[in-house]
Amino acid sequence: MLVLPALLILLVLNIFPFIFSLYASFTSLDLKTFGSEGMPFVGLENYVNILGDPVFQYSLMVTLEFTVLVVIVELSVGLFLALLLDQDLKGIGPARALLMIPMAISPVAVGLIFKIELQQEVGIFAYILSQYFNIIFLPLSDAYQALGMLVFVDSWMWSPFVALVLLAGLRSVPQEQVEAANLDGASSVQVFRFVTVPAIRFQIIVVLLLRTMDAFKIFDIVFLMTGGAPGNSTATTSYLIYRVSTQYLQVGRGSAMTYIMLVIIILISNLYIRGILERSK
Amino acid sequence: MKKSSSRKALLYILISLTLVFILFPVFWIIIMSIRPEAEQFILPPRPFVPTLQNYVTIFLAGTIAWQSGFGSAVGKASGIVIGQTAGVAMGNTLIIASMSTLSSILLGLPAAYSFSRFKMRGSRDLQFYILSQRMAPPIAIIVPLFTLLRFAGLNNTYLGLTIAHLSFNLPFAIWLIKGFVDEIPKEMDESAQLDGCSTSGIIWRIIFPLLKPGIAAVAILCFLFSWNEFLFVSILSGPQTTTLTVFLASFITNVAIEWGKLATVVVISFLPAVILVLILQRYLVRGLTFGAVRG
Repeated sequence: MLVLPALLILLVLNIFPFIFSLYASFTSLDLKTFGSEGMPFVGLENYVNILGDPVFQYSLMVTLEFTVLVVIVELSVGLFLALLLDQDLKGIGPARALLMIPMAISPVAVGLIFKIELQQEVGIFAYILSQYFNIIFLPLSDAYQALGMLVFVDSWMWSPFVALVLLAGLRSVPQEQVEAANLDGASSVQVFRFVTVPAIRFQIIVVLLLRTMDAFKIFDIVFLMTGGAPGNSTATTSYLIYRVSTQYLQVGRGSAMTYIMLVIIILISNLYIRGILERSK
Repeated sequence: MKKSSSRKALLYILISLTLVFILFPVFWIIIMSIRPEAEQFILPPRPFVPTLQNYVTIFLAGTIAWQSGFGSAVGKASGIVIGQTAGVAMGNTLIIASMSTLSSILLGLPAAYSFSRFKMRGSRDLQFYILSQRMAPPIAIIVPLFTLLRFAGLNNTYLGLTIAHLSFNLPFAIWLIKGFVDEIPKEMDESAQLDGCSTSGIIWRIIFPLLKPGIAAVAILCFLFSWNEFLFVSILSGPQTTTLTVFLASFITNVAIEWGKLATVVVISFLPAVILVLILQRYLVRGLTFGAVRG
């Protein structure tokens, strides 16, 4: 009885929308013509169209590119930070706490912070870039700069998170094993590779999974910082779905895109888990 | 392992550099918010007399251009409208975040308790379900939710937005609190039962006090998620119910931008969240990894 109210809400808020979108993805539901035509069933037409649509394919590629870059950067920076903070030094506690600040700020606010600071004429970073590195930073006219900016901003937000999760793992690495390996004459690289990494394997998987799933869905900072520009070069799949569903109002098509995306995320997640579990055997 | 003092010094330098790198963008936006407007374009920056003028104007007279997420085809006016102050947007954010947090805990604790204590069909599905929540782009449920809320006449109301935010806060709360309940030995509620305590009595008089710190952490995280949420609000709210994130985003379309004011709104939007996070730091990692990693 106790679960009933909660279950009811979950059912209405979460299960119903998914079933609705699944059904909608097989119809040509378009909010512009909904009044006159309703939701005509069209079978797999949306899926066939989308898979052959170069704009959609391109958005998948951008998303994949973004995800791969972000995961690599965040994992390496995060690991470096975690090792750095895994020391018994005075004042390390507050340092770890300050690391949480980027996670607290909404993606929209983070996007704006960097948008302002990278703005020509007023932005301190734009100024530093042009003054000391001779780079005129105009992300809205340079596709590489735009993608680079998004990767940088996302990494700024989430590398500390990766670091804190890995740090939680590092704290639990058995010191006897490290000492035993040292006694056996293992170099610090060897200790890291054969003692530390296996010991924090679980934390690495968790962080890889979460960051991959989130990066794949990236929306807020794209919406705020580039709006998909220049051209479609930063229009990730989530952003494209947003545009198709809420601006072109083609809900059927948008829903089909969502489901294709969902399937890809599930496949990637499974690959991760299996790949990492198998290698550890 | 003994650390030489030079190694220690190197570590301190590296850690400080990292912190500077991470905190500088935030620090600078705060500086911009207290810089007089005339100073904004002066780079490299020179010393200036800080002013709180921006904060005063933003709360009293900051206006935004507000644009609806959907076109008029679904019956909502699209176009640029309505003056709105940051004060109102902040009040809205506060109301919606508090309401969705409170209801997540009130509904979530009993549900979490049941999932933890009783072997029910579907308990295992919950885990998969919560994960799939995490995988699905939120845009997937926006359109049906919009239709649903419209049908119930809850579009552009606090209640509607609260309900929308429950779609991610409730599963999150149930899942995390279940982890906490799992750690309380069953003998505890059995003895309470022998003393004649009802199930809801056990939950609110025995379990709840024991879990206070954990539940507080879940509550703060729910509050944060709701506070920082953008997509749902941008589509499901109207000018009267819009929150700070949407208020912020609306600034980018404005033609003439007053940088100091913009910076001020950004600061206002993240300050409460940052303070909350620094308070609950112990639980943050656990919360953000859905209880998988204990920080």
